[in-house]
Amino acid sequence: MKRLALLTVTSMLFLSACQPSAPTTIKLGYIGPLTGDVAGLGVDTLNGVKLAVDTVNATGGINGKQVVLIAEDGRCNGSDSANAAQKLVNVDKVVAIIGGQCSGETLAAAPITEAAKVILLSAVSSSPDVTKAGDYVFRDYPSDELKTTAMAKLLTEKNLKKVAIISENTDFAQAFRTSLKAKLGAEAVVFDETVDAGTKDFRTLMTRLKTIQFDVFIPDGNSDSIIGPMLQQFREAGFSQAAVSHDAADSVTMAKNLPAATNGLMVINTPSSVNDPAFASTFTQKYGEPQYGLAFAGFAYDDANVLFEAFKAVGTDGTAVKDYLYALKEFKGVSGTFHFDKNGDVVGIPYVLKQFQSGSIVKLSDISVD
Amino acid sequence: MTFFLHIVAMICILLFPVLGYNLVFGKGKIMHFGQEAQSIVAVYTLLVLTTQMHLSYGFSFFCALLAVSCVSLALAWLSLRLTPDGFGVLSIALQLMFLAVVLNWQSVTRGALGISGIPRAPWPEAQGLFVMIMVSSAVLWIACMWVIDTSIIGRQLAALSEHPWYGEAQGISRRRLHIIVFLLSGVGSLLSGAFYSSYIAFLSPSDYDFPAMIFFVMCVVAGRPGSVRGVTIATILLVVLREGIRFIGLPIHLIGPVRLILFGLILFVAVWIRRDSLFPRQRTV
Repeated sequence: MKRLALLTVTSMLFLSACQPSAPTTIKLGYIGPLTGDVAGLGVDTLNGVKLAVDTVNATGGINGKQVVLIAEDGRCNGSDSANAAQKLVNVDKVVAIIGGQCSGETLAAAPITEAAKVILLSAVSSSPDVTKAGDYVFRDYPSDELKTTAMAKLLTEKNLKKVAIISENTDFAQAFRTSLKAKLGAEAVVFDETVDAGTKDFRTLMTRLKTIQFDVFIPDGNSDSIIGPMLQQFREAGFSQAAVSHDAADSVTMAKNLPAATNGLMVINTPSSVNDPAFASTFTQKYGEPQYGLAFAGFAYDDANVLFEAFKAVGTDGTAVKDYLYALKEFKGVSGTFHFDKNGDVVGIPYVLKQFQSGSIVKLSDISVD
Repeated sequence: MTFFLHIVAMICILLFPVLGYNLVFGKGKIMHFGQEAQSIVAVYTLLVLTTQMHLSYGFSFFCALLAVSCVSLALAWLSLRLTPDGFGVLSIALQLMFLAVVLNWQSVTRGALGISGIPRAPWPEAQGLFVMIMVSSAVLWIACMWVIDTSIIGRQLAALSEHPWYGEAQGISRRRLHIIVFLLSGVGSLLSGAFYSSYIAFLSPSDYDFPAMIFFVMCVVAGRPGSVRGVTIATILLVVLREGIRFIGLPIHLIGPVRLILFGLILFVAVWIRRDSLFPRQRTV
């Protein structure tokens, strides 16, 4: 026990010695999954924020102050995200936090930032629960309510009436499934199965699926590492029906690694950096190919920039920034031109229909959900 | 100060199940790896009744106590009828089973979406006051565990764990002891879940996954299995260390993996130091 105590005390002394301090800066926090199954999403969004911070610092900072980014790993769960938020708010004294990325991270961090009147701006959280998470909670990523409206509209337009869906048992995939089922109606979903998080073998389900008459298959996973094998085994089982998925499937890695299995897959997602092609080249030049998709990095980049605009206009006081964001008429970001509604949800981000074609992802059309 | 209070709160929340688990696994040497099964049943019963069915907190707490007692009694019964390794596997299976129920019974538990917007009530809104209540409860819990550890129950448990046949020949009731320690560990899980959900205001099934169980085992092993003082100190140190790692000034792109590797290394060293109590040598004459 004495040795364990000594080990801890020594480690703590070392760690506290490493603590940076810079009083003439603006501290910006970040919470996202930097380890675990969806670490790629965290890396992309963090790089998006870093790019925005580096850009603003290179041009003199905000009102003469440099922005310091302090990133914390939320590990895509509530407990770690709450710990991270407590540290960022009460120790680092950040003026705003970009995060969480997983909805569970955002929902756990929200009560802490709300109590401290610190802005929590999420780049990826799509759960409808985030809408009511608090006055200081914003997101520039559309709620699943809108995404599933877009998908229901697409399925109706293409006359795909009978839906088979396999969902991963994660907050992201389940929020999508629940919302889509509500939009389509129970009778339209002829096959509805949920698999454990991280499942890679779907062959038993594919065998069962052979007994079902369906028009479209919806692989609903948390990441491309689940959707990829799901699609591959779907095609290996001999199915020729159309497949439609959401933003988690909008992965260049999946398109390159599984060109045959993904060929023809349609995805509904927000546009990837449509308004600023320079963003894509700068991002790729600096950080390489995004792991999940440029769109996620774009949202995080926009998060940082909309906050910087607010800081320039009203300073860094949480309440003033909150009022500024609610009153914001429009912000032209790389993801689109948007503003926030009375719940802090984004308004104005469009949806596009994309298709995997021979190892690449091609935009087919815009989808209006107004 | 607020962050310090938060760390204190997280330590207190962990101490309830860890000390209960120490009684079962550390002191009783019962190969139990399903502590989180008790936690899941306790916290979900409490929250489903309060937030989904809008029943009073007191009544829901009582129902949660009944539910966790049933699970604890079932575990005690199974531990008496199975070989240690068989019970170890079964307790893991039970945890996975309850987790699967919670994840898939979405109409009641909201599945992977978790339960958000959990009210702080009936506990005080002010963080300082709430943490004080948690600290007081944790101190009481430690005292209770210490009393049990040094009482006849603790001595009988130690005797049984050293040699079950000799213990039973001395008139020690294995059944009675297993029921007592499993019930106590269940109560620890309920207290922890009640405080945790009100404190974080959000409950996710991922918080009750197997890594949480591994952390319990780590606390017991690092603190010396069976020792209330040792396990309490180990829990405090490991939580402080886990959160302390956040203060390393690493380049942003290295934060995630390096912190995990560092924490893993520190845990490895802790286990290495305690390897004799983890794999005790058979006493010989």
